Amino acid sequence: MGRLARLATLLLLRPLRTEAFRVAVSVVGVALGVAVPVAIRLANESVLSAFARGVDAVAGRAALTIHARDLGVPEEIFPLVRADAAVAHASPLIQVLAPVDGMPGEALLVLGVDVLSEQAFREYHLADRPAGADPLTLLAEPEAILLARRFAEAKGLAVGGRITLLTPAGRRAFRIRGLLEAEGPAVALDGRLALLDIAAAQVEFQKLGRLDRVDLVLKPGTDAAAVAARLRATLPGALTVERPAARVSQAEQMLASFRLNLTVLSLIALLTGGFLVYNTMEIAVLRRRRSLGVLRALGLSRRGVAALIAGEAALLGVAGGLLGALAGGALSRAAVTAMARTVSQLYAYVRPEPPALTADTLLLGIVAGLGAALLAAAGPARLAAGVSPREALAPAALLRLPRVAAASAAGIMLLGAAALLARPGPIGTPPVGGYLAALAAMLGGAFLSPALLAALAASGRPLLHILPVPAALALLSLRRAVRRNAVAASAMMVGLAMLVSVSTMIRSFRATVEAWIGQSVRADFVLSPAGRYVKGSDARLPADILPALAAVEGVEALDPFRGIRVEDGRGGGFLLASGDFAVHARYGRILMVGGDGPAVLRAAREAGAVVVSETFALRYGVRAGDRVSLPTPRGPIRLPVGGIFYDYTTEGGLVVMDRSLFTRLLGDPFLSSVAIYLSPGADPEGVRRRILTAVPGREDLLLLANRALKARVLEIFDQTFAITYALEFIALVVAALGVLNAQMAAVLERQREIGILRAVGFGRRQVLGMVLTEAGLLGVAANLLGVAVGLALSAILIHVINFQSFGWTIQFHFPTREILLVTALALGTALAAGAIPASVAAALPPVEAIRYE
Amino acid sequence: MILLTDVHKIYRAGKVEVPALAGLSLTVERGEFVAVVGPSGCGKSTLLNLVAGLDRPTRGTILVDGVDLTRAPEAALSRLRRERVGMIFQFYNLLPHLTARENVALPLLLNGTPTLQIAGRVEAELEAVALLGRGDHFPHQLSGGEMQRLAIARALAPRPALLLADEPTGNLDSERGGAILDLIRRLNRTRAFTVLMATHSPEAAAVADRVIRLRDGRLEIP
Repeated sequence: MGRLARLATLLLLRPLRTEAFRVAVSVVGVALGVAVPVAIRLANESVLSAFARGVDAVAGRAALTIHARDLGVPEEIFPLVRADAAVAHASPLIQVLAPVDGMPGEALLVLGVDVLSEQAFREYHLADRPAGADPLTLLAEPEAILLARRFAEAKGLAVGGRITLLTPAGRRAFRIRGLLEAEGPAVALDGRLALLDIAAAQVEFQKLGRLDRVDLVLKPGTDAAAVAARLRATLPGALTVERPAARVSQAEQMLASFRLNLTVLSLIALLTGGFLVYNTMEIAVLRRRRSLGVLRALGLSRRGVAALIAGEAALLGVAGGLLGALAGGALSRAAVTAMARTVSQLYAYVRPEPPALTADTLLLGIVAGLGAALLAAAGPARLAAGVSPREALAPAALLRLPRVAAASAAGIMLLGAAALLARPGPIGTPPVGGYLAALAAMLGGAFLSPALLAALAASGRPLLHILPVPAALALLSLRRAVRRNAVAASAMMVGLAMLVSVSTMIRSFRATVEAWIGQSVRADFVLSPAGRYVKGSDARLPADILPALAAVEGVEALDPFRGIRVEDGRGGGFLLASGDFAVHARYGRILMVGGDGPAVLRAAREAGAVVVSETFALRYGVRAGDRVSLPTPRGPIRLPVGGIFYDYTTEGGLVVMDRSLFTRLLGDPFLSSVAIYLSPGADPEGVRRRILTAVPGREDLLLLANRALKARVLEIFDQTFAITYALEFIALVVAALGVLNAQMAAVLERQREIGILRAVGFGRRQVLGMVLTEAGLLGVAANLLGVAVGLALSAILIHVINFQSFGWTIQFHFPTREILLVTALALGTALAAGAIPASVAAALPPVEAIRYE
Repeated sequence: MILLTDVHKIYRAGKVEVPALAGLSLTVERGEFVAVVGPSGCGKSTLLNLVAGLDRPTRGTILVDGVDLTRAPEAALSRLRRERVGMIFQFYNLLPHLTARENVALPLLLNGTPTLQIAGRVEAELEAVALLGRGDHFPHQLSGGEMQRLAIARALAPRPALLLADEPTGNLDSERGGAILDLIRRLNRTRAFTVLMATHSPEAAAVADRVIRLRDGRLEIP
């Protein structure tokens, strides 16, 4: 065995063998810290790659694609495009996401293809068919549909059977004529693909005269970018001409804030894990001062001592990183499910595959664990290298009170930096300043913990004579071991601050949303297609149901809502919507950023103006009175902004105009939902029954009462924050482990002292009382600091990070309940963590303790 | 071997200055066994710490084995302790998680002794202090006298030119303390290293070649 290996065994591994508890705490801390970001990263990758795979699969060999999001492409342009000199092949497509009847939450990507031009673009292979037969010929038969075999088999569907999709006209049944192998478009959305003939698709999905896309294959040697620019300039209307891959980067951009937020939250877990390692290592160094002094006396250099501590951290980091990466791999399956649900509700329908732990993620986890542990060990290593052998070896080790002032100055500087950094930047950009401010605030709080403990100890000084002896001794010990106690208090503070800040943010956000829906959702009922809650699905209602609804006895007014996704011409998009401004002004309640809702709506209706959401206004820098450019089938149009309103439902922004203007400009006769106001005194149950019978054959419609609608919004809200709640749990575990470790070390360090106290007549209960009092004081200090830092962090989260990421104004809601809960938790955790070592200390036979040397 | 010239050492405790050594000059010849005696606080331990390079004087010069400790960089002091100076203490200061054999091997691993030689050297040292049968025991399984013998074996394993002993019998009864002194004296004669021993026990001082008395950080002239 080499000399270094031998030294490492004797000086690193051997001491760890007798410190199983500390090793376990550190490894678990690192593992927790690594597992969360690994899981989030895997889930993030899985969601994005599912999206990219879908776009790739559906694009096939197309070099360019022409579309206008929900506005659609007029059929007339197809001959123009096909005649272009640079175009080799052109293929018209209908593309809709259709919810499957009887399978809640499931939707199929339906492609309506032109059988003749499709071959040049995409390949389809039938299962159980001789090669060479063109599967698309099957689509010539009436009601024919082709499904991906993977989906069909998973749902027990077979050739010859039927599948019912929800279309704007209601339920439509199709006959399954063949199953597609998992190649080409059939791999999109994990096999959730269906093929129809384009003409049938236009009829069934009410898109006569419209296309969703035109795909192009260009002649060899042509420059795609130049062709795209030329087509954009020459084709009528507001059409987007782009490479299909542009959709992937748009999705990445759309999800960027969401992903960044999750990633940063997950990195906080790593930060708390690092803090725990710092905590255990620092305490271990303080405990091992004597051994370190001996090593220095034997000639080990300062750098050698520092290397020893770094080596130990490396061992703990690698072990924790490995364990954490494996746990993260397992955790990612739950994370991807939660994330796919949120993304499907907020952004786009996505069906990611369960992620697999790859070798590079495993390596990344280990590196992250190692890095965090080494960083955390920097302070303890410096402390160890600075151990003076003379003092460490003195028979009664000299007690030096640490300098509290230097740490406090650093803490105040960090808090000042946090205050300077906590300024929101442009909406939609990554809130780097906010994240740095949060980190600075957290570290600043940690640096203030020695001063707080010293102050706490000093404030108890006048009481020393009246306090029971165990309490007085605990108070003295708090001051004497201020460094060890400060480290423990900081570790616990970090956990508590996270708990306070995240729950304050969520609570404030929820309270804001609750107040907002309570105010703005006034309709007694809302009628919408069931597919409405699958983002991006084709959830339209024909406008011809309106007269039938208006005729229902007990219905006083209808406010039809229609929203379509359009391009903003800068690579992003927003929702262009319409409502009946007259009805909304009278019955609804829109919360404006300054200004009276009904008056603004009436004026906008008169002037042909739009109202825009706060998110839209912030993102595009629009103020009331400005004009905004909006795409229409006949080209962009500029309309005045009549007012700005609060909205928490749509990310990316919302522009609303009166329905009459919308129909005239966009020629879109559909509805997304209808808000229904009842006559005073009408019986809601009776009206509900009459509404449902007024639209026969539409069992797919969802009629939600006001309360159910509000509950539905909050349910989505809670699901969105499910991952965040999981992170809070981790913070709590870290906090508890930190205190447990510190108290355990404190008792071991003071075995001798406790033995002497027992020898001079201290009873077990008094020892117990002393250790528990100290733990309780530690809990009080950590709690004070944790709540203060947590409130600061929550302000940063609300006013900087969230605001800059999403443009949502959240009203700060003082979290009285959470603070009481956290206080109880902090004291409970500190006392519980102190109880184990306290009972160990109390049970120690005095003789044993004094002998210990 | 050791040459101290007008050495001062002042400790600061807050704003109070405590002089531990006040102009001490001293010469110790190679192979000499010198005992330093004096009441508590006279500067014995300070003297040993300075000679070991664990601390630096406030003023004056210290030469140990030809090295000027007042000027040598930190790394050179560490090397001096690894290769030329062994130390034993009143409270043994053994590493509790290492066996007797491993405690003795440790300084050899640190000073770069070829690994093939280490095992033989360790056995020889254990034999010299009559602990051959206890190589696999941990310190807490040994008696006080045995622990101090083990500490001597560890200090002498790198074949130092100088052994510094700080109250080596302070924690032992007179019989075991005597045995330890005899052991140090015998090894000092056979191996010809220099010994500088701080003690307050007249019996301990009696085994030395020369006794110097310290009072208030100065040599006491008898």
